[in-house]
Amino acid sequence: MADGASGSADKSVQVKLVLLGEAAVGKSSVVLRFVSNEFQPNKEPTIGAAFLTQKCRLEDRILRYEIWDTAGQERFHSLAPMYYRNAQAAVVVYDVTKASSLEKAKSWVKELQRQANPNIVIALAGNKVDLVQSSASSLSAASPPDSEDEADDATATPGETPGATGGEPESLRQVPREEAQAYATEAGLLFFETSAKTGEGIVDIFTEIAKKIPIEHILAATRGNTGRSGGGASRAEGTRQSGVNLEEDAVKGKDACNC
Amino acid sequence: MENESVLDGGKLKLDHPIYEEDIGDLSPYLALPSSTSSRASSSTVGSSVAARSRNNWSDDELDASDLHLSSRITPETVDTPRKQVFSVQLLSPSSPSLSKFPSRPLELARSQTLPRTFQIEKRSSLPRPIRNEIIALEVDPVSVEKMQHWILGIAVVEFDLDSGPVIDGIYPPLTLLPSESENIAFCAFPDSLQFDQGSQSHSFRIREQYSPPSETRPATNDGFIYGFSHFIQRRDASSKRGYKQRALVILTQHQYPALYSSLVGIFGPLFENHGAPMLESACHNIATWPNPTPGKTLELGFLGSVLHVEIPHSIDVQQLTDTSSFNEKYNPRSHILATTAPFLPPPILLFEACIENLWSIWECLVLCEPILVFGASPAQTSQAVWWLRDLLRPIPLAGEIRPYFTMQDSDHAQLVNKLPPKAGLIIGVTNPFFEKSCVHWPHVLSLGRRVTTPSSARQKSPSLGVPAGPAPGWKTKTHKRYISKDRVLLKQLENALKGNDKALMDASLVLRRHFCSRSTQLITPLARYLNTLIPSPTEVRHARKASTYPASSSHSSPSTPPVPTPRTTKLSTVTPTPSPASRYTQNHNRALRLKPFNNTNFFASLKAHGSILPFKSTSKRTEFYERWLKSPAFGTWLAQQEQIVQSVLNDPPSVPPLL
Repeated sequence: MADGASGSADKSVQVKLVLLGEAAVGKSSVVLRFVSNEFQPNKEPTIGAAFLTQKCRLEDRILRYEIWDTAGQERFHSLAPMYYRNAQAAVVVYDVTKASSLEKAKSWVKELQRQANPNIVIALAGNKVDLVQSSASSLSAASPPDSEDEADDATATPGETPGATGGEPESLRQVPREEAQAYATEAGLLFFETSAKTGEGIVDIFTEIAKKIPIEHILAATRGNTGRSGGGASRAEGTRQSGVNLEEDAVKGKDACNC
Repeated sequence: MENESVLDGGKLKLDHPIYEEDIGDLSPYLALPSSTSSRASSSTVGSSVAARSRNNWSDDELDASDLHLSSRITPETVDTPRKQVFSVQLLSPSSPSLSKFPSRPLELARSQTLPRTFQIEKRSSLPRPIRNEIIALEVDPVSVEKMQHWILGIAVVEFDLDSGPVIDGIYPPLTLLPSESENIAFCAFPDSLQFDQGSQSHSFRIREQYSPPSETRPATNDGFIYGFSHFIQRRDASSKRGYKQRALVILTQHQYPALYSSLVGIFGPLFENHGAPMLESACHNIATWPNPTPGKTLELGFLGSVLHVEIPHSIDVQQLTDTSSFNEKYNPRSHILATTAPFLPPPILLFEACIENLWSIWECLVLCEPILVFGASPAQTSQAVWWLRDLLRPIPLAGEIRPYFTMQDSDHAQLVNKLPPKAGLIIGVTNPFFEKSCVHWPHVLSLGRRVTTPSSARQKSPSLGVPAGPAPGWKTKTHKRYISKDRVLLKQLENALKGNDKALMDASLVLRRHFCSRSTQLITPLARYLNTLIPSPTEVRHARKASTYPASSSHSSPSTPPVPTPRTTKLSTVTPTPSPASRYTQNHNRALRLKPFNNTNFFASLKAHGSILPFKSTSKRTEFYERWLKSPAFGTWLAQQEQIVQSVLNDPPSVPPLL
């Protein structure tokens, strides 16, 4: 909390946020979309962790996300605690076309709930939803070989987009939305299905996290008045409802700017 | 974060409990609460620096996540007596068999054709898993090129029973000569033991002996390699020595001690827990940083911590805490002024035994007197030497400094011999050997607190005994002070030394500001006189008329202001031109330059305008400046000023103002 909450840039509130998840689910792409509004089809795997910042406005508050985009590869797993230590928020990403990635996400959530800051706001993001939506768009459905490029991380494991040769993209989906949603609700997580490629749901994650973060608590801690107790819990509890309801007002309050 | 606000300096927010937890992340020496190895280090500091009990970081400050990081090393207290370990033979962990290390002829450690192997003459029979892991790390040329903007490499130095300390691996790969790698390996280890188990950070500066830059050998800035070492020592029954010793060393071309000390203080303990993936992560973190641009304040993410770092416009510019570019009030625990000494532990502790002599020490410093700095640990000497170097600013560094100097240094014979030491030479040493070999040096500064006070730490660790070497304090054979002390400040410092950590840190920063402003005040009369040597606007115009304007891109306005606007003028003289950009500047030097410095005129100006420095008398003032004008610092300073004036005359925008 100490390093995350010190407001260094004007009067913004610093929020340390960590991205976790299996390799090749698109963590870096989610961040790239959020920070630069860009998408790179074949992103090289992250080594260790990348650090990025993004300033956001939420109503009258300015938040500054200090984002630690961690590597998904197993050899870096043991390094994760130093990134989620003192983090106020975490985005745990899985790939909707890969069932095992949700299992990995669940184990990350468990680890966070056990070891991270007790007030940490956790969001679960099912990424690559563009790969399973194209039933609506005839274009994508008509050109299934593209799906190889559409995997938004070059580290995509082979067989990840296997049955794509068929005509029905929804068949790529291995994690039903309802299943993930049910898990998220049960575990007390924010939940989104996202596409770093199209941008769907990306801003919403960070907006809803911003709403749920106990800002007063962080500010109080910054002033050195309180420790890290669960003082902001009730507020966080109260905002969760609207947080899940992402379609309503996701973009309205946000004013993203590079800094 | 880029906007600059003037901050109210001096008052620190050290008492905020929430910062406490952060200290370890940013402090090179103090405890890192997330790591037991560093907790051991805090006891080290407690015993070696000033025998202060520093139990601020009690276990109850650790939370679950902290504990998660600290898996392997079991904390041990310093006071476990293992007498035989500290016997004479092993007093020097880096030099168990000095006779085995004759200086070797210059030759490449490895050729360009074998970039991934690291040759060490004497192979050890011990398995070296780390070496193989480092060799196995992927080398992506694009990332490596970015890393090299900040670092030359990070070296892992292990202790080899046959050879002493040896570099086991460097990432990204770095070509070193055997003498360089030997030098780095020895400088990475402390010369004397201060603790049983624990860790400590220090830094050193070695001369580079291999200049042609290549992909595995980036160019240095000034012919020196700067090393920032985190040394770790643990008991290890499987080792014949009884201990496992290792140092992690960040090698860099930049003279940014505060920054790299912080980095190695974060990296060292983490590497011990995680090994090669941590090395890879650290380097790739660095690869994502923006370039170290002069004058910028950067936010650098490093292994889960965020560092706010101010890079100065030049290496000789003072970076002041009270006018720093940080948005909040300067706080040494979360902000880094790149060129300063590390501010933790509070530097005033180093000078406890010579607090009354600080004014003499400063005079010797600015007069380029050679100083032997003696300390109990390289952590002490390197912090002290960087601190002294920092107090010199804005006077340029004209002599050589070695924050931690060992007998194994390839420059040893050149710097320490029977001859009088060179002007401006400052070396930090821990080996008592130097007391004898430097017996003819004029000034010795021994760090720490006065020995007369029995130190609690020594009682805690009886096995360490009383450190050898000169007793803490300042000894000079020649120097007589020219300038009065600040007695009010002295009183303040003496009181602070009885106070808590916050008082010590406040006093350290006050002390720094005091001497930084004295250094500026020293320059003031010279700058005043120098201003009279700048060509007048009329002379500038006249000089320009004499030159011809090429038709292209010349747009000088008829009413040229005193500082001329950019223009492209060419004199007919032909001079060798290093680059197209500086061609016109070069040619213009002939017409527009500072008039020659005249000693007599300067002293007349000094007499007329006086000095802000509280000289004991006007004759002392004259004597002092007579000496200063003979020092190499004056020559270097004057050359710098001439260059600034010329670039102002020829290239007006974006030039730092003349003092």
